[in-house]
Amino acid sequence: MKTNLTHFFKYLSAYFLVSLVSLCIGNAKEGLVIPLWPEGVPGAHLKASPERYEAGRYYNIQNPTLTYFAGDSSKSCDTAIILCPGGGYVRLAVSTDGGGSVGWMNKMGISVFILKYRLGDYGQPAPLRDVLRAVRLVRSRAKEFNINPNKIGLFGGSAGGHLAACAGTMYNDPEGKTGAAIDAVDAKPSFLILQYPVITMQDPYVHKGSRNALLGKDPSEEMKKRYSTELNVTQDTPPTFIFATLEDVSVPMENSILFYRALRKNKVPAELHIFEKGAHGFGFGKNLGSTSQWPVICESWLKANGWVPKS
Amino acid sequence: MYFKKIIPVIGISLLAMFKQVSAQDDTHQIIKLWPEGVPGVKSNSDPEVHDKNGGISNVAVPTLTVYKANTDQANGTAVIVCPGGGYSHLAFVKEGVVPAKWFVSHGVTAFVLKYRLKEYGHPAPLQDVLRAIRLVRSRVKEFNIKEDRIGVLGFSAGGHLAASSGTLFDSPEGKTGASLDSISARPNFLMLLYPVITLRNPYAHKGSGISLLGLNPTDEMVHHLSLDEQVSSSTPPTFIVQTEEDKTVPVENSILFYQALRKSGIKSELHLYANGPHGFAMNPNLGTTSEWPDRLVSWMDSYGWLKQAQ
Repeated sequence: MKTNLTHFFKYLSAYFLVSLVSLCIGNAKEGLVIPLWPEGVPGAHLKASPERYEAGRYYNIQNPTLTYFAGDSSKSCDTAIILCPGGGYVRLAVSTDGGGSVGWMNKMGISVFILKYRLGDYGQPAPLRDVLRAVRLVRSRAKEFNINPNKIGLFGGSAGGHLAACAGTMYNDPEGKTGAAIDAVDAKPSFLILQYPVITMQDPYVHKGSRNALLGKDPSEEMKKRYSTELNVTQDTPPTFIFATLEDVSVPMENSILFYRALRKNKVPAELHIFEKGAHGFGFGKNLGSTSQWPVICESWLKANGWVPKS
Repeated sequence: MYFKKIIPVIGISLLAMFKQVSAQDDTHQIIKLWPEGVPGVKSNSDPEVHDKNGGISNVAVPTLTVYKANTDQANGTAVIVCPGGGYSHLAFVKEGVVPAKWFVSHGVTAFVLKYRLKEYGHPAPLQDVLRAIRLVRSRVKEFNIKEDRIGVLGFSAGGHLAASSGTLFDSPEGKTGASLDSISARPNFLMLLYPVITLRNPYAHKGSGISLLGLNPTDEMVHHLSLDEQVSSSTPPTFIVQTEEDKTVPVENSILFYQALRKSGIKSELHLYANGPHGFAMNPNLGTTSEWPDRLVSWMDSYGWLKQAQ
């Protein structure tokens, strides 16, 4: 029975990838899956439950990867975005956070790498390690993907927003390094785009589920502070675009305000847009009033900063 | 010698007169707010001053200048526009006439408010804005607008005045015993551009506080006019825009008001941009910041205020 199920999930993942590959005929690398740790996943669990994919969500990530989606080559855009899906560090909601957003970015010419990072069954520092390795990897292979190593941004929703914000503030962290040669490559993202992000690990605005998964049920004050990204912002944190909604009852928009205020205090150029409509995880949702304008607003920001060509 | 000195003087006076016409455009109807007499009027006040940049100071006779939407475009929505200027002058053209004309292009009838300033101090500006709302609401038929579609927009100190109207609309200070007092002074929505909100340190805009309350206000008055402290469940939906770069009125003013609205369950939208100095108004050359009018259109549209009223 268990073997049957494993086969079934393998079949599903394969089907998922094949359909992605078939979407693009122009780029041979489209759908390419790049393992983050070809030398072996650091701290890999030997008796881990198998990775599974179910209804657009990944669980029990064991082998972190990047999946490549080529940007529209006619747009002469050399920017890449590593997309960190959300899911409270217990799953990766690829279908809601990945679906519409990937197409939108590709259409602007941006190369997208979807990051499959480790979750609550590992806890910290595994997700941080994965995202920092991902930035190093993409930057080290920039030529191969026709991207500018100085134009590698992160886009993260919900807990993926937390991970992106961690990368933007902890890029030099020793825990992101494993002694590999690639450690020498800069892990600092060029910009951050945060959608209804989890930011703080401190009460009262913490998203408890994310904290439990990342730091455990009873984390020390020190660990809470270490992963409260608003406390780690410096003047070197990259330019950031943040958006959230009032209607979000899972991750209070105060998280976005906390990060914005920290950026502002450190004179980091940032935009914050808080809309009314849209429950947590609205992703690329349409018919949400002015909220559905976020891709237009974000595109303007990308253009104004030179990450997307102006016309 | 004498002529050499007098010619520039004549030139400047002529220029000033010309600009006066553009600030006080006489093709538009001007309505006195207090036809029965301005409350607390000072008998020996100096004349109103109009500067070469379309600014006005020393206001003694508060008015509304009407910018009517074209009949074929009018959607029944009205906006009262409060120019800024730290309660010591009014950027009447830049933060009044220009946005009013923009509203007209979207089918909205706009009223530019000329309100009293530091020569009077509190409560004169509040009296003026609340009377303005009552007056517009009492004459909706004449202006082809709806009484439940009257918004107030304000820039900087004008944003403080707009936010005052949205929080202190029932204040006895706004009533003078006139029959108009019985009409609701509550705006249906607020639009605040780089607003002054708090009069408390560290985020207060000192000049506005001094103009309103003098150098040594009581804590009670500071609380009364720190508008984040006055938000209630009856404050109307609000749209706020501000920039990180603003060195005159810290962006925290917008955040404080937004958080207060959030606490009271008021629907609102907040757009904080990176670039743009204080007073950017409708400057089209500030990158993404210059797109705020598009955001306002989306927001108003989501409430149906730009569609024809039924």
